[in-house]
Amino acid sequence: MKVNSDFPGLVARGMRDPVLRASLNAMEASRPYMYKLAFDELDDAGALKAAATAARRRSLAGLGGYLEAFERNVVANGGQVHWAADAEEANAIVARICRARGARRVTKSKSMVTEEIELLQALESAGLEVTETDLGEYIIQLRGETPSHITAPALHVSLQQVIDAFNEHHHLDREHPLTTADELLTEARAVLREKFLDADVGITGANFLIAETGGVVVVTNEGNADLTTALTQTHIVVTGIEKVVATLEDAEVLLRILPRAAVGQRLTNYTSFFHGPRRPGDADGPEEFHVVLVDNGRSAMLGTEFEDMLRCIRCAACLNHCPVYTAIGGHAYGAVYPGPMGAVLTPQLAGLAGSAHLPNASTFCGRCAEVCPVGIPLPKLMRHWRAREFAQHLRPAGERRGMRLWSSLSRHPVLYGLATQVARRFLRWYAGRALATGWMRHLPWAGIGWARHRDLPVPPAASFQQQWAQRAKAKHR
Amino acid sequence: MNSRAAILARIARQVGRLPSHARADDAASADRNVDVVDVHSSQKNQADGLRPVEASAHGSTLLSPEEADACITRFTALAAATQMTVARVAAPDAVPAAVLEYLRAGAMAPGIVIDPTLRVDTAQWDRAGLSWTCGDTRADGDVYVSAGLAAIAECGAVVLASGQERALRNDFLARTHIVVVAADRLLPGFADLWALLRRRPAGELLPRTFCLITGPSRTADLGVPAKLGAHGPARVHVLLLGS
Repeated sequence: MKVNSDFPGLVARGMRDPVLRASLNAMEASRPYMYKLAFDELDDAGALKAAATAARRRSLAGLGGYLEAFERNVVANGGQVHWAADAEEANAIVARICRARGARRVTKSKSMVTEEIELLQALESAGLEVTETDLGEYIIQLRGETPSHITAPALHVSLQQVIDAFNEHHHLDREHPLTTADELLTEARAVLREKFLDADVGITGANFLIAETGGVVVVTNEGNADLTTALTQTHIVVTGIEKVVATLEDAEVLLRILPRAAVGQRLTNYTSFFHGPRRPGDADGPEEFHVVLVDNGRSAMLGTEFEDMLRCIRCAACLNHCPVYTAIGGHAYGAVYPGPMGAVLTPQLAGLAGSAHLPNASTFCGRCAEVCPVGIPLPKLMRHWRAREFAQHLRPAGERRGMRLWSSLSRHPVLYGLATQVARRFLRWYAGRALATGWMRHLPWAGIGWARHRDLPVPPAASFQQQWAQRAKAKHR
Repeated sequence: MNSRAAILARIARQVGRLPSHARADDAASADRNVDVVDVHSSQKNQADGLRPVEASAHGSTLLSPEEADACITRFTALAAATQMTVARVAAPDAVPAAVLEYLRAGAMAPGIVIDPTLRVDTAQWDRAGLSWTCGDTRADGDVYVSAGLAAIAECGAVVLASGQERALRNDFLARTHIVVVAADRLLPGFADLWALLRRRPAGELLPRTFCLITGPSRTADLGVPAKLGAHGPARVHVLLLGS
């Protein structure tokens, strides 16, 4: 998985983008509220979260057996299962199936795994015409972008920018120029309807795989996964190995909690269960049904301190509640998975060296862990990455030296007292006229950047320890 | 070693290596489902423990009249929350009139496409003054009247399934979707749907594709409020058939 390591630069860009700021503010004001309403109406939200967590734990504890059972049942349903160790192999499998079917046009419903492995780019370079059919994904496909949010991929795009994208790409003779959201919807529906009807292959992700039945579950609010699969001759499911669950009942628990956590909905508009290709005599349905199970670093997380992350159901509640995500937006994370879950997943999938900023970009306020419907301790996992980062000497040498100095100073109280006394005196001298106001607006050396956006209180003449000692003396007198 | 073997081998090697924090709450939840696959048995035979699909104790026909009424009340309330309308029809012969009434109320033309599996005497459509065709929807503006497999009170969903005679695609292609569901297939909860799906002769598979639908197709990608009629139907109307 590719990652843009220039986190500071991307953050600056995100924070300067007025469209993004407006969208993030609106999201921050609504999504946590919708989340709260959706869980408050339940008799026992805690029990549902516990059941969902247990269902995901069960999946991981028996992962190998469930995957084999799933495979066997898919085959019994008339489908085929393919195993891909990494992104390259997964893309090659999908391209091979398309080639074998003589396909030219592909429709695709939204899937984060396909973003992770960059399937779209791989298929396009194999000469296929691929159309994203989730409206948000379609918009960012036209704009040549990646999603900035897991469940709202075009969060960063304004209505005017959608109009511009449609004007640039649709080449239609319209009676009136596009102006409203309704007009955009009508046009998108007509354009994408043609794509659905013309497609040779339909690709979906999977929200869950059911070992018991060999079923693939996909949820959408638009119905695009259903049109993608119902109107093509070949249905290819591309998903991660961790998506398998034991039974219909386990899938049910997760289907109840996923839309509540994601957008405060009771149930997603379309919750679809796919069990293989068209059967003899069926009125419709694809002739071929393929499931590509993608590992790409997942099995290596099992049995490690990052195993909890494999429970993730991609609801994005952690993004929606994150003070960092809602300040900088998804693109700042430099990889397809943003927010707290991305800060844990990206170092695993793309390597810590290029993504070490991410687990550090957290205030550790703990909201993400609090709202996670499957109880993933995200801050704890980020801390594991920070520890690894230090152990692998990935922090700058200056910082490491500083930490070492601090560590040894704090273990020698006399030295510590002396050093802080020198620093205090120096800062009071440096403050000069600012001494009277009590606030320093400028700092020397390493403090220059820090003081650009903040003021530092002028250090007092006597240190805390000195003041404490004086008070104690006064009391005893 | 091929990828399948390599992945399964790595999983077998890694699973359970963790000095695990929280295996305790796995045990606490062991009252459900865990028997389905014995996760602790050998990798090879694990999945053979899958429970054969069988009928569950709870059947919808066993509901008392009070329970059935409660189901209808809950279903109707939840349907309304997702912009889905619900009406009741006493008998199959009354379905055409109810369809016509719905179309008139929405100022829609009295033309419909009928699901071939809908058990309504075709003469009744003519008698009601509806122009109809049976089979596939052709144009994006079509009204499609389909036979739903079931409905679920607990979550306000109608369930549509693929089959030998009915093409599931029509449920998504039409602009207006009218779903006829037998009232005795209005199930209290998800569990009853799973029971219904599992209650079938040995060797027979689940319906190939089935979909739980709650309301019209919608998108939040063009701002707030969400827009209806994104790709699929912009209107969904449910007719509960029978008492």
